[in-house]
Amino acid sequence: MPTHSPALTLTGLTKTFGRHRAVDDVTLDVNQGEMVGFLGPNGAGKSTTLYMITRLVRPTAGSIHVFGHDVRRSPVEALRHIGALVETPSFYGYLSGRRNLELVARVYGIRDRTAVDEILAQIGLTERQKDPVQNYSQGMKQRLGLGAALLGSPRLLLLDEPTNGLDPEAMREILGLVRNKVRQDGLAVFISSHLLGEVEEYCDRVAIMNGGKLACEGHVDEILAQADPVVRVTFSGDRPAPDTFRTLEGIETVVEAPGGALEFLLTGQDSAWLNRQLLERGFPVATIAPKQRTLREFFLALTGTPPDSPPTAPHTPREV
Amino acid sequence: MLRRTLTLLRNELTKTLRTRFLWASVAAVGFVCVVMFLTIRRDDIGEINGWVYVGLVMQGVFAEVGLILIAAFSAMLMAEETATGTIRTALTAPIRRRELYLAKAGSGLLYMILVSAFALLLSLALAGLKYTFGPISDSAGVIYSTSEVVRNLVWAYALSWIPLGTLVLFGLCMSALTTRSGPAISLTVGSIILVESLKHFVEIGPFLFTQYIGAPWVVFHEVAQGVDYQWLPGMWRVGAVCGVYSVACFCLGLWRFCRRDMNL
Repeated sequence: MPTHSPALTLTGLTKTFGRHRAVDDVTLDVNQGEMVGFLGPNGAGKSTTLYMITRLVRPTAGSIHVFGHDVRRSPVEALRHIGALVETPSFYGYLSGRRNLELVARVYGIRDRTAVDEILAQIGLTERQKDPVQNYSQGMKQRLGLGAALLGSPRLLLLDEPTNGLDPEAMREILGLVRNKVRQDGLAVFISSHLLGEVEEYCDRVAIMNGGKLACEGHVDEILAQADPVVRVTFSGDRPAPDTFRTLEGIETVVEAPGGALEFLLTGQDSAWLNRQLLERGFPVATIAPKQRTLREFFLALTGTPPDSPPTAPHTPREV
Repeated sequence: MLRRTLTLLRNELTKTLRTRFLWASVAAVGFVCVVMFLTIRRDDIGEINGWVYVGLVMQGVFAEVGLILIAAFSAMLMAEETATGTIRTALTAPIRRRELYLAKAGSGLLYMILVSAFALLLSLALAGLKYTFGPISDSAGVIYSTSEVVRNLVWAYALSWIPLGTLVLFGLCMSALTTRSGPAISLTVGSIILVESLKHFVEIGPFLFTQYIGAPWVVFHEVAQGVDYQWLPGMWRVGAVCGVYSVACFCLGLWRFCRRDMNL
């Protein structure tokens, strides 16, 4: 169970690259025993935020505390608690997977060789531990990156797209491993991902970035419950074209759904109001029912961009 | 801090010993030693003994191939890791950037010592096949005893580390200023070549640290030939010029590395 003492505290965190404000006044907590999904379209500032937490990028303003240690003033004490997998993990290709982990272990002061054996077993690389990393697949490198992040027995795990290059089975295996560590060891996890289904399934809370700002933050169920309702309507006759409702106030979007249905995203209205509007216009409603939004739908409504789409800003100075 | 720096240095050595560059450097230096062994003739430089050969080889190796190898190795220390992203993995560990920079400098210096030690030992071994080692003498008798020559050999070897160490710090500085190994090597080696060319037109030679890379071996060569030699005040000048360059390069590189955003 979460103990609610913050593993990570971001306060007014800001980063500018020239005139571009990549991260704008972000304030956020991650508690122990909690898995927080960090979402946002490409270029939203997720990776820059993770880079600032790991001290790879210097914040322009604001502060970062890891278990009470200021990352800027006491970086070693703060980073001792962090295991990080930022973007594509990079290793020395001419060294074996095991040797790469041993280099990391040395820095953390781990002398026990069995610690590396255990990590290799957990990430499923025992068989290939002696192969040079340059012969590894992307998925194996990703696993090795996760292994390196877990090696120092961190209390806070930062993961940036940890399931990149993994097949669905491996993805579930890795996320399950992380989830178990959250449950059993009280690990705090801050995970950036564009796989909203997985985030919804595994994370306790989500924080959504958009345009460098923290657009929304909270428990997944609470966020989705507070969101404007989506109403699914089926028709006894022909389904009207979604464009028919474009000018109607109270309806934000209409999308076609399987089974000849339409899904209406309402703003400030409910399904009874929609039913009246449809009947007044002569559309033969067969069924009408509110539908729980998925995180993906909520994300799309909030940011206007799918999570895995390319950046839209034409003059973003640097994609972090 | 010292413990973490030594741990990082150990990691650097583990990596360096497994890179092809180290062994290619050893092979290149060995090749130059052998070529010089086969081509130096008595007619070219007068009387040759083992000491003369060693002095000539050490000057030859570090005037050309050794200089470029050390410059290239140092230039890759930071830039290659920045380009491949491994520097980010290293910096997310509980270390300070200055500790990693110190470890990189240590790694470059150890590489320089290893390459120069190999050149010295190989040249001594090759000289033993063809020439004699002993006191330096002429028709009037012994000029320098064997022990005095050996003492001067050790001095020359140790003092040669000063300009070569400066070369390492110069390369490391260029490495910290760039983000890829290609530009870092080009910048390091290119600036040395450019300045070496310029010194023929502008009187800047005495102010260049590269001017002094072979200086200790020049003095040793004088010992080996039995002529008067003088370590001082020439070596004070070597120390002063190289010291200024070393401090400037180290501080500039460290400042840049510590302030850089590693988001490329």
